[in-house]
Amino acid sequence: MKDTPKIMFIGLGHAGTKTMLTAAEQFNSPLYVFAAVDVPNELINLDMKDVGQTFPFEAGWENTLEQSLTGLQLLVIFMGLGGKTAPEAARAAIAKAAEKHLPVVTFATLPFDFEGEQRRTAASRAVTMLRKGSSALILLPNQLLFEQFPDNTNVLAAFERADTWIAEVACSVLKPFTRSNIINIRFENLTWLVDCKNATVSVGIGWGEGEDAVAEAVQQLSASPFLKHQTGISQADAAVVMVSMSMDATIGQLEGCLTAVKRLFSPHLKLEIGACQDETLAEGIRITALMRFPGRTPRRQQDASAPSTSAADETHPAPAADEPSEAERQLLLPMTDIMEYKTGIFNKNEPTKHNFENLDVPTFIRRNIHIDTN
Amino acid sequence: MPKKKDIPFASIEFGTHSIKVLIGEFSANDELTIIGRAETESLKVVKGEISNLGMVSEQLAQAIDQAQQMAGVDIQDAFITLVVSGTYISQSIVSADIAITSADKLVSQDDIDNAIRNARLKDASAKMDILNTSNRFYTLSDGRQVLDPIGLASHSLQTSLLLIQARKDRLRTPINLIRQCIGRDPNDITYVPMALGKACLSPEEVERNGQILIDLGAGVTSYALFTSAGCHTAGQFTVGFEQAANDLSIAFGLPIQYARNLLQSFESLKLSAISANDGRSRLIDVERGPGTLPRRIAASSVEQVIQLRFTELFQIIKERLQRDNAWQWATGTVRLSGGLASLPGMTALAHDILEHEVEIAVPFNVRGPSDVLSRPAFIAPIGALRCAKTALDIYNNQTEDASSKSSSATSNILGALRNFLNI
Repeated sequence: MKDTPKIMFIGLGHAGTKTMLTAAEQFNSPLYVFAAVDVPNELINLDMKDVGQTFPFEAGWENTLEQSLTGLQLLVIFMGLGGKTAPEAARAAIAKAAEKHLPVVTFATLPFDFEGEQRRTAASRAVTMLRKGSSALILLPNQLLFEQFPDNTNVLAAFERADTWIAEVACSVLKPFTRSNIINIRFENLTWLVDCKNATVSVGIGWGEGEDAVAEAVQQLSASPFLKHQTGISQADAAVVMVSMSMDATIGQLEGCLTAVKRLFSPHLKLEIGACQDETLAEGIRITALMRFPGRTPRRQQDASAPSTSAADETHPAPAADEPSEAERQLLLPMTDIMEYKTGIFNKNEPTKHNFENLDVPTFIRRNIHIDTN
Repeated sequence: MPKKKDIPFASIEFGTHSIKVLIGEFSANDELTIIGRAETESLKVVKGEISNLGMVSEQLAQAIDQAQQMAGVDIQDAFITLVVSGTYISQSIVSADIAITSADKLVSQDDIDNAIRNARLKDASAKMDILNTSNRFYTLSDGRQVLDPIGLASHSLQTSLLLIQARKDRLRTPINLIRQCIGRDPNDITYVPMALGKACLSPEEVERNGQILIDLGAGVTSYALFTSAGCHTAGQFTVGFEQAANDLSIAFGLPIQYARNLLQSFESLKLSAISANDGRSRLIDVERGPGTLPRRIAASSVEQVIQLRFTELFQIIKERLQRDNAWQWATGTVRLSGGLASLPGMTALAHDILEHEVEIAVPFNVRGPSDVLSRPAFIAPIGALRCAKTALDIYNNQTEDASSKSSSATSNILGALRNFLNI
């Protein structure tokens, strides 16, 4: 954005706060403000002295927050789903932002499988609320990260690594919107991307250094854990790609990178590309891609023989038979037609193309067919 | 140019799975006898193209040596044909019109030859070599499409020709390899889909029209539709055994070699290309590598991965035949060749998708080692031997085809041969 906005990064709950702190290290400028919302017991242990404000999650906290939102141009929320504190805090923060006509970008993590069905269901309900209130909602399933970890990774370490990854994703997505760019990309591009009922947005990041920086970044992008799931490529209908380059990047590298990025996607895809120089990148290139997959519209009629059991069900109607539940749908992050992705031994070969599909990608992936591999 | 009589013929194919060399002889009644055969594993051929010259050269030399020893002939004395497929080969359809100038307005063989000659001139490209051509059909002035127009009345004749072309630069790679091994270029080049018909269609079957042949290779799937006029449609795409193995590798986290082994073990594991969809009622143990325990997975899942892949493959073939307006001509049997043809359930799956009778291709009028005749993987190199013989016969102007209607179909082989010799 030409006029760099003033942005508040707010972490809700334990997971969100940790992510916010990591982001604070990246966005080191008076233009950014940071805040944490959590139960008082948790905030006691939090050192936010040089970072920002804390809002103890207690009665009336959102009125205090409202004052801090004055004059801002963007609110970024980090949160983990599955619990109670973060979604309730988000509901209040979003309401206050709406009063001030402040756009909200929300990064929310979905629970690991081992956290249990209850937390997954709670997460699903929170997603519905966040979709309505956020200008852009980016969901990051922890379970997909989990599959990247070695089997002997302990639980705490898994959560910590997930938090770090989320922060990196958020920084990669947001940085180009917050500085003067080589190729400008506006925040409206991001809201345009997610401005689709029931759309799901997938995120991928790749880094590269040295002579093969571009190829390496593309390779990593395609191996991003959040892109590691199913679905036919033709389902993706839009993408926003941000390229961040170190201060000593050359015109040749930029050109090569933009060409490689355009080649990643089908010609029919609506694609917006931005590029910026990032002083925090020592060298090399980072490519961040947000891809949109417009999902199915869930049926709204409830089964008459299965009445609602709670008030919350009014906003989350029971899915029809054979329809995936909201939680399942949110966890099914599709993938795009990224060359080299999921091509295995054909990673370095000229792809076999047919009707805009890469036939080297397994058919079951492109057709979004779940295979029982247990 | 070697004389026709007593000359052995040799075909060389650089397949993604293996390099095959066949040496054969033809008797007076056109029966082919395979007198030498060799097959070495392809280590550096990907999607039908050579990726490491040095390694493939060694493998080729080894295969030629084995075949020569078995045949008791020097391959130098043979009429050699190179069997090719790959993304550098393209198919196009060209047509040309001529006026029938004879007083009686009856189409003659000369008319057909002129029309073909005109058609071939249309698609000349400096960067491409014409490998094969084939008649598709003829259109008379009243709009009728016929396979044999000789003697029919018409003011004009339009011929539709299938042109197979290859990029010169990429074609040189396998040619140079052969030259390195044996000291000279091959005499002829055969495109895999064209070879399939020569291998397993008898003259009676050719006359029956509309026979589809599909070669399911390791790196390339080729297909062709044959009518009495010739090869109506041919094509290929670089999907085969390797993609199926890769699918299994990705789905179940198997190293690629173990995924290949799994696919090759379908019969012994009682698996099928058509999934039984019986959930986890059948479990199989799949090796994952030395020092690791086998992985136990549902047989149905393995079958599902494979069924999806090959359902898509047959759908693509059908789609392409429909796109080329060839599907309407497909009235006969579908024959499957290539290493995957004998995968359990493959013929049934093809039948479901293509809605035609499907059988495994069997070479016609061929004698030789049973492991060559019984394996669909050898159909293409066997067919290439017949294509080579046809090419030589035409060149020597001694075949019965030269004086019949199909001389128009094969005369362009002569042109291709001349073209090739000028490389």
